[in-house]
Amino acid sequence: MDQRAALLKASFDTAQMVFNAVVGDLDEETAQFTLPGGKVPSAAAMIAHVIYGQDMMVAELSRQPLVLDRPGIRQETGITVVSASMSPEWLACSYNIEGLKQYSAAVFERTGEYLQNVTSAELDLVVPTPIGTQSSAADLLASIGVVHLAEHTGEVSTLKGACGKVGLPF
Amino acid sequence: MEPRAEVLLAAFDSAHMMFDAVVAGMTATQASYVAPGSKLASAATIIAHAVFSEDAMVAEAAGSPRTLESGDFGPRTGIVVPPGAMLPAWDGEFQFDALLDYAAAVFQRTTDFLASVSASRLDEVVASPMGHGATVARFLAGAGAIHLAQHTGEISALKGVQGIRGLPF
Repeated sequence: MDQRAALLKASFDTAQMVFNAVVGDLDEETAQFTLPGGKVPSAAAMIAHVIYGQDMMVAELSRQPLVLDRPGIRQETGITVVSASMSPEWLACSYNIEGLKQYSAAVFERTGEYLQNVTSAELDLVVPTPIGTQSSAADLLASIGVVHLAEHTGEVSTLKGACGKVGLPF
Repeated sequence: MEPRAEVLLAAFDSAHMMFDAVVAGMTATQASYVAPGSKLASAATIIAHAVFSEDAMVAEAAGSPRTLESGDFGPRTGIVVPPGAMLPAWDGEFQFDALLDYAAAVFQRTTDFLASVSASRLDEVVASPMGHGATVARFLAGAGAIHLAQHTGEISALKGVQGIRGLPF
């Protein structure tokens, strides 16, 4: 296993573990909660955004179809739009938290499999990033993959806290 | 640069950039806000915790003292590490502007460390926050940029709770 892939897998494993700790007990009501006068999307919209983002990144790098396009997943999650950006259309979707949890588990499993088998040459490939720059696949996974998931996990944690629940376990 | 250090630096660079974007324009009043009836800490407390943690991690990884104890960051920020303790008490009064100066110094030290770290140092075993040993590379991959990014997300949403824009995406 490429040494960078091992590090990336360790990073994703930690970020995914914390995501699961924060999202595990999230119920439908808390997941749909939006603060009156606040500028934070619902936890469900954020979860859908970040998992779809990871799905797209790994699908593109591994040249495989999206997990989202497997039979039934769009219907079960409520993700009906094509782009994962936090557009008004994205925020207007009706997300299902239990479907999103199952979708995240499938995306995390596919990420693990990809990193287990990725070659050094594949990690060195220069690819476009979502912000219009170019980066090696390894750096893209580290900078936008892992960090993006961790940031939105923190946001979901705060939304739980705003509802009087415990967010991050530390 | 060591290939693993390059990957670690990419993650830290991204987490630092997002942290800077989220705290930019934030006022001391917004940073000390605690939502009534919530279980949320203030943004200032979260910033103190997250930046101190990176400082402590990189100091451990580098085998050198923490930035907090260099110069006057302790008294300026309000972060007090009790004698004999690994972690500070987090119920103090924090100085927001000084916390941002402290963050900038810690981030610069992280970058300098990763730009020059050797393969053999990355393979050395150090104590992790979970109490077991890990190589420097695994330690930073598992607990470094991820920890800062998670807390940046919390701060972003704390801004959103106050009706202010958080993350720029």
